[in-house]
Amino acid sequence: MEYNRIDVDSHLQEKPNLWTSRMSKEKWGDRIPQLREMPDGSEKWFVNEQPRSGPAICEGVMPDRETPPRRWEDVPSIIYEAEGRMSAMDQDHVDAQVFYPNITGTTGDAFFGQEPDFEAEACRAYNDYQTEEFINVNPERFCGLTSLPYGHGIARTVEEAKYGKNGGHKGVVMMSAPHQRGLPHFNDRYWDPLWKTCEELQIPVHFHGSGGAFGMWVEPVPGSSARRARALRGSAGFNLQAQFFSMMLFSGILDRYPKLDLVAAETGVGWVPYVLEACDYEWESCKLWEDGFARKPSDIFRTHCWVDFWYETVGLDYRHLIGINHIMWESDFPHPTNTWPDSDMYIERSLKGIPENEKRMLLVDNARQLYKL
Amino acid sequence: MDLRFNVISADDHVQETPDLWTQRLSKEKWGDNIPHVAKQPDGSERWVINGEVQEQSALAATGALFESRHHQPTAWKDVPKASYDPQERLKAMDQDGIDIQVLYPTVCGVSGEVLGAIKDPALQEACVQAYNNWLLETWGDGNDGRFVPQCIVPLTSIEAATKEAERAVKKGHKGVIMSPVPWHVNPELPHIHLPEWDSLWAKVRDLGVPICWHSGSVARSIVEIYDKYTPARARAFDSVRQPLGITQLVGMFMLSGFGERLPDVKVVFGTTTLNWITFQLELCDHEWERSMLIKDGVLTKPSEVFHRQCYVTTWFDTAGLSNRAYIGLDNILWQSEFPRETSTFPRSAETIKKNFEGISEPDRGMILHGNAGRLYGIS
Repeated sequence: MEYNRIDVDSHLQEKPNLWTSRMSKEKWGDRIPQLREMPDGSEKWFVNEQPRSGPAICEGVMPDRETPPRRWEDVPSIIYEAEGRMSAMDQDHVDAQVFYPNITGTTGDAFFGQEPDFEAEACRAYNDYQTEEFINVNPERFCGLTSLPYGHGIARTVEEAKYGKNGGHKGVVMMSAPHQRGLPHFNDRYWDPLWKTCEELQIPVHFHGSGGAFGMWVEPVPGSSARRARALRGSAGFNLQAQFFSMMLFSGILDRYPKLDLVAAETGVGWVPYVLEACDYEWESCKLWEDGFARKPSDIFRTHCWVDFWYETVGLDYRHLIGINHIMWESDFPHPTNTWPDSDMYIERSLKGIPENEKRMLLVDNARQLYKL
Repeated sequence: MDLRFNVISADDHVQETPDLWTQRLSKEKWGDNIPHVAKQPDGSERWVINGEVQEQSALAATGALFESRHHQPTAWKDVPKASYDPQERLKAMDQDGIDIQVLYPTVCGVSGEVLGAIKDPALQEACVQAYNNWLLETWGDGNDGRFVPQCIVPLTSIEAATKEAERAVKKGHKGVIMSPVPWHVNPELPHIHLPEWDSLWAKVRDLGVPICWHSGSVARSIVEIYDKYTPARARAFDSVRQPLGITQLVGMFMLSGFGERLPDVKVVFGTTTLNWITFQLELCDHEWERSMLIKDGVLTKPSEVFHRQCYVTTWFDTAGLSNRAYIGLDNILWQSEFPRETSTFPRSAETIKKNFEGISEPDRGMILHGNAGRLYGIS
């Protein structure tokens, strides 16, 4: 470790040939995810012939921090080329990055709902892309997270988690509210084989932002600019993450799989005291131990759950309440809210007055332990 | 008035009685569309509103008055009197060490959103008026000034809401409760942060009372309860999820430009806890700065808007209290959320003692009664 700084939430930009070079043209034809030129000259990603988004989500690394790229040639290569990415990391004094997807949904569920074979192959291609073009180039600096297919049933989901682990990935990333998308609720035993595998292989399960549960967002004011709509998303993200993690604490899963780790990404840390105190308070006043809910929810959280910060100061006042050994640092490179390339400044501001040994835990040691770096 | 306990609970709920609407609305005119309690095929009594049998708090929300907090009475005779009878409630308040309660509804929806969904505009407006009148008649004068009544408004149109707010406040209501997402209830209404609503906010400001947005009234933002939970677990989880449903509205308020247009309107976000408020403030300030919202005409830093105009509440929570200066000492109200499951009743005094240990007398005084006293004009 050169800088003693691990970024546990960054987004990996998918390349134009990611799927076209890995999925069978014969089998899938033009349904393969690809960039297409629009009548106005801009480019858009198409999945299964349906438009999805512009070429990249990376306002945070654009010259004005605001305007998204219109065409692939406008996308800075520091977000999709291993070498370029490493130089951007050096510039911001980051040793290693954990990857979440970018245009395939921040929880990697963009293909769910398509034909199950298509979903599985598209996920596989993305997972191979992480392994072949990043992890194999530098396994010390790039940490992949496996995107999971759901449509073929739980056995195929589990298979992909194992496949990712074999490719050197450091965990799996999942949607947060599968019950809202026609899949069983996370508290259902359906998911047990996945939790079991993740526990056995020691790969943490990651949830990101509002976890794909967009139906739970309150709409921004009509006519809001892109920047205002974006600013509002943070409130949706932590609100849902807090509810989903409470749901996990109430589920019994973490009693059945006592070595399973769950990570809440890009939602900060300042909301955690709510989850801890509210769950404990209700657990106690409703006497839930009489209901087979034996462990205090806050103890479960501190044992199994990991969170990360990027700009907070007051949130870190709660670090001992949350559990100082389960808090990590992230930059959210290259998204609009990110701290790149000013992470030095943000970190200094956030960690002012915090003892050196604790700073080290927050910036590097905790992530190193979780991801075995 | 002299406070005996030095505690004003800024957010509690009345239980509407079965005859509230049937007694005040014309049976001839509205028939069974009048909100009423009816026995269901399974033998339980439930509220029927707008022809729909209610599922949530089907008859009453009075968990704090039962030994098992998840208990939901299924017959009106089993509903504890302290929930609907002011004299019985005063005894419960004496027992719990509470001087004054600020009142929110239950059956109407905690922000009035259930009545707001009544399709027939004339019926809806009549139901809202009946509630507001009942509240003053039953919980108003004659109770030693120990209840602070707050009105609800119809969601039939902005004009109707404004008119009812004015009528009710002039009759004695001290606050205006409303759904924070009225366009979810009535799709014909505009988004709450569009300037179309400004006439209502200005009216409320001129009347000298706050707007109150209670958590738990944004159904869309609350995750479903797993259907195989036991009743105890389901009720506990419900109490955990409810206060989180309003986070987006708190953020939206600070980032919407509302504060730029109407810097004098006071806004209460009820049943929030303080524990996620510090984060909400940091988050909004960060996004405001990082997304350059100043270019969007949001000139005031979100936390400044909050400090100037917003109130949030605390009951069981302690973490946010330790950062009370950051939240704003003037912006914090204490509440008991009587008589819902999550309430601190009957251990409010004990909870306050524990949670406020080490907090200076002046700070304690502001949070426990000073801020609410000022906001509601209790002298």
